[in-house]
Amino acid sequence: MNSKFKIALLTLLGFSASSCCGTKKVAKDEDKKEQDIIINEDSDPRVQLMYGVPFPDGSVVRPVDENGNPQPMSPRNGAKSEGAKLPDGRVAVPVSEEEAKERMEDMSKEQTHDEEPDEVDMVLE
Amino acid sequence: MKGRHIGIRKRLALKVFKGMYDDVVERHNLRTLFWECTLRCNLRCRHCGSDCRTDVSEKDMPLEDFLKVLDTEVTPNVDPGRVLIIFSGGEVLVRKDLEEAGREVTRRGYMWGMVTNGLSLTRERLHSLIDAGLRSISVSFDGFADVHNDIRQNSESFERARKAIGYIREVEGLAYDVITCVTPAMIERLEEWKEYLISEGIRHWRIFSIFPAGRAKRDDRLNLSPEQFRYLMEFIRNTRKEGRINLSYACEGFLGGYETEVRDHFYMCNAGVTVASIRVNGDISGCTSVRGNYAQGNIYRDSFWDVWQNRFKPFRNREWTKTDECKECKVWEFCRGGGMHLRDDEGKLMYCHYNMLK
Repeated sequence: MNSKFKIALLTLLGFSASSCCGTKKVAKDEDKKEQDIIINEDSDPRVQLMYGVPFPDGSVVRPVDENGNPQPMSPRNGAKSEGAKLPDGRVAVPVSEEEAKERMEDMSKEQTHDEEPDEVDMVLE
Repeated sequence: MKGRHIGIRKRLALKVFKGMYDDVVERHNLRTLFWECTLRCNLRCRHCGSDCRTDVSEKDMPLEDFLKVLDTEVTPNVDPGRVLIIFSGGEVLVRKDLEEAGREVTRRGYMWGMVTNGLSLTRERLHSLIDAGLRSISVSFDGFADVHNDIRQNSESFERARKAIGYIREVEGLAYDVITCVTPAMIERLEEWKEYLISEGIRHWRIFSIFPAGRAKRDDRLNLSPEQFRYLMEFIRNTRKEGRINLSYACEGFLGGYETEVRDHFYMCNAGVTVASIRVNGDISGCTSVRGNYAQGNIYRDSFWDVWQNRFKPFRNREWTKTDECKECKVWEFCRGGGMHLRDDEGKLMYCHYNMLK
């Protein structure tokens, strides 16, 4: 008897697939009615272990404020980076995509076309 | 009350599931890896199930030793995305390099989580851990302040745990649950406790009861009577039917007529089947709650992967548990001698959940 048949048999007996293998109850998009979807193709069960933790559901982890608005990943992420010191004493600072674009345009005015870099996501100050 | 009686439909399902569990044992795919990174703790709880023979002055395992095992033994043999690594203790927050450990584990493609008593979990520390890839966290919360603080032997432990849970709830997408170890002092207040947890916005709750190991073995005030245990099962079953909070009984013990009604799945002990641990002294075992003398090898002298593939026989073939009260037991085929952590150093069963339902 293969595992799919056994799962079908258990379902016929009135037990959800989540009681015996790696499944998860998820809501349908349209009517929000719950259904079982097998997310673990080899059917290994995910058991909540005695001194274990719940199995993560794959969503992105981020803080929200009291009104439920997403916040930066951490206070540190929200703070301006001090950058990384290079051996020659200069500092490499991460910049946003917009800032990088502006700086590239400025640089392109100063540089000849054959020296233009392909991509810039760090600038030297 | 349901008690031990198993109806025909459930008995048939258990027989089908038995075959599925045999397949899981045959495959023994590693799905959860505990790293007991420290035995140090900032509390001295009355019900601590730690192995008391273990010298608590045992030094923390250096991070590089654990990463070496991951890099040379585990990662080449598994899909990291399917293995959950759980940092376990002691109290893991006492380790100052926890974030570094988390980052290194995340960088290798693993998800990781941790269990904490919440005493030293500030909002800043939580966010710092999330930055390091923390995906799941469980906090011990054993009852109202008088009970929790008494068990934890610390007057601030309830308030600190409450705040820690609040910080966790602020984070979207972080898997969490609150763990209550139910003692006789809380059994009559469970309804009240449930309402409190719901009012605090908690949606995921796990309950377990004491098993006689570690310090708990010597404290009779912590153990439930069979009547209290049956009441607990009824409470969990009714709470699950209400659907206001996701409540489950822990994985341990076969529960007769309550199977699939107090937790989401049929009983199975996955220690050494899909779960391994690397203990603080390098021992390789099943769950960290299993006694020390069931170690199957040691990372400092054996190949972890060779041990996982070729040893672990006492975990994967449990015929040896068919002794004493298990010898003639009619449900052994479903229970297989109970959880490995319920066996003492000589292999004798310390606690039978099924018998508690008599």
